[in-house]
Amino acid sequence: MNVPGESVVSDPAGPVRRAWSEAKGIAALRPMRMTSLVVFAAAAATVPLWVGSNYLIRVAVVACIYIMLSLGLNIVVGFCGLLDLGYVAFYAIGAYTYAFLASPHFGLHLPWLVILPLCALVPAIFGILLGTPTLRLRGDYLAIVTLGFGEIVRLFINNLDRLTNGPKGIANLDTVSIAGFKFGSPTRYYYLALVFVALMVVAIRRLGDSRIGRAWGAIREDELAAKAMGLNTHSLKLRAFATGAAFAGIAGLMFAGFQSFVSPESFTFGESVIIFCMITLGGMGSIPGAILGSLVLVILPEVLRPVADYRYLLYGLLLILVMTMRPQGLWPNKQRRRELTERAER
Amino acid sequence: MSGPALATTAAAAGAQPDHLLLDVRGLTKRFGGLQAICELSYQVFRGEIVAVIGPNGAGKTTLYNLLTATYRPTGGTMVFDGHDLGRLSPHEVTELGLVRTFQNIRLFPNMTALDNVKVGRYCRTDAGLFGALTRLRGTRREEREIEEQAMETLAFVGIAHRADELAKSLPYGDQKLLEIARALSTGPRMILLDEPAAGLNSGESAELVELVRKIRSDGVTVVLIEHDMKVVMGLAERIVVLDHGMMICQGTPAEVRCDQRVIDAYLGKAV
Ligand SMILES: Nc1ncnc2c1ncn2[C@@H]1O[C@H](COP(=O)(O)OP(=O)(O)O)[C@@H](O)[C@H]1O
Ligand SMILES: [Mg+2]
Repeated sequence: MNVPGESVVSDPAGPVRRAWSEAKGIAALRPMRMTSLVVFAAAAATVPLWVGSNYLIRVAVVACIYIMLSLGLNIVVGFCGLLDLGYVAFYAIGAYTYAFLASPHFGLHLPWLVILPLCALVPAIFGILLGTPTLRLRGDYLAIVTLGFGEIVRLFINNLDRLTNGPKGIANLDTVSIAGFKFGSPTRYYYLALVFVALMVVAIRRLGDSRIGRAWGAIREDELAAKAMGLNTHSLKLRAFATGAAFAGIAGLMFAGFQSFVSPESFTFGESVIIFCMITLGGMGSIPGAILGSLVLVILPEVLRPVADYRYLLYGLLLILVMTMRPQGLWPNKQRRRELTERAER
Repeated sequence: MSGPALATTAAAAGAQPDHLLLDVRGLTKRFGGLQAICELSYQVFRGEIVAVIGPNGAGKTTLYNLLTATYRPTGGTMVFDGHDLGRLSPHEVTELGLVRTFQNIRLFPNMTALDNVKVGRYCRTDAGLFGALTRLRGTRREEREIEEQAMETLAFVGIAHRADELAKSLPYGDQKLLEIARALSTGPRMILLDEPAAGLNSGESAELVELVRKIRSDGVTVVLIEHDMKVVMGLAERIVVLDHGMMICQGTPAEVRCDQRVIDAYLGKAV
């Protein structure tokens, strides 16, 4: 890539110019980011006011749930570079954890605030159980094993009638209520989901900019060098896996409480693929990208409803179009954006 | 974990047992039919600068891969400061204070220079997931320390002005320095440099020589693989010459330069 001795002839004004263009870039970016953040937050907070129908508010809740899933998968794939194709299994485990503990199915009706940590913990434990033997595998093998895991979990749910009520699913889940306040209406539930999205955004930002987050990045970039620099890569990957699973579990909890019903058909391989599409479309490793990607792929089918039969054809075409024209995603993360511009400068 | 039996062997054999840092005995590595390293024994003492030279394919990089537990030896022992390296995994070797650089640069290309060095601090710090999420005072202090130490290390090798640039966008020479900075930030007692001067111009090589001296005077023992004889002769107090996986000679630069076997195997060809 580099010709030995190339650095000798480097332009002496280079660093200055680069610093200058970078300063300009940041100055241009900051207000834009602040503005977009404020606009986005205001828009999100007022959704129930300006969308007319309960139906659309429900769409907004679904969007929030997908955002949670995308944020979690972003840790595993975007930060740490692990190809997890069975991600939806953790979503299912979170959803069924709620269904077991808050429904007439077993006659258990635990308080929501007690179930909440369990819905993060149980999938995380499954993540560790799955990850311990498999995370030593190289990327493509890991993808196949996790894909298998996703299918196995779904098949178990489908066939363990005693435990899960099989394909019929579990119905009449408790309405979510915290300290007596019921989140029965879509509007109330939307705000609950929004709070969780906000918490997760803060959490994932902090994770990304931490000792562990940097170590995940190092593994994604060059695993062998990461090991040589003193990183216990296996334990770090496990932690990425478990954290991603916990995020998915919370999304599952939100989903189950919202539908008040769970069944295996919500947790097919197709769901994993869609979540993958969301983070790829938005920009791998980017938090706003994951949000944007989820919004686009949840809202698009609704917008395309009038063309009924061609809906998914258009959906697919659009995905192909965006990915060919903007391979870095709609809202790429800062470093990837720099990657692309700096490559152009060379 | 330290094998007392091995430590005793080392003490019995070493001339200055207190100063013995690395003791390699009968080390052998076979790749199928190829003997990359063959019955190799040598010692490195605290505070030395030792050069490993030899023609391409002599097994020098393989030796580093064995020492850092990237490869498992076919036979023999490697004892670092009383610890048997043969049983450790790569990150444990680094935690013990033995770290390497790579012949073909292996940075974290899409991370900034500063973040590359910060990753090196990982094994000397301990904030976990909980710390990352809560950012309590202890974690914030640790982050500040990591940042300061990483900046100091970048300044030490002379590329502090590159801190916020992506590793892959640095000029070649600075990438090599960044690799050294990243290795130093792990807090090593011994650093293994693999052809640090390769691809550098003569001015940069001279700076590298100074840097290696500075590293040593900071208390880090240095082993370097190097083809550039000016660098080797300027730095090394002792030279180990490998050929076909075997040590054909070791001694001071003056001794090695005059050794007929070395001239035949290596220096002769180089001229
Ligand atoms: N992973 C490997 N698999 C097979 N052969 C290897 C491997 N690594 C090194 N070798 C062989 O071992 C010999 C020594 O290689 P190396 O240690 O890289 O030499 P050098 O002294 O140039 O650094 C070479 O013949 C090389 O082809
Ligand atoms: Mg080599």
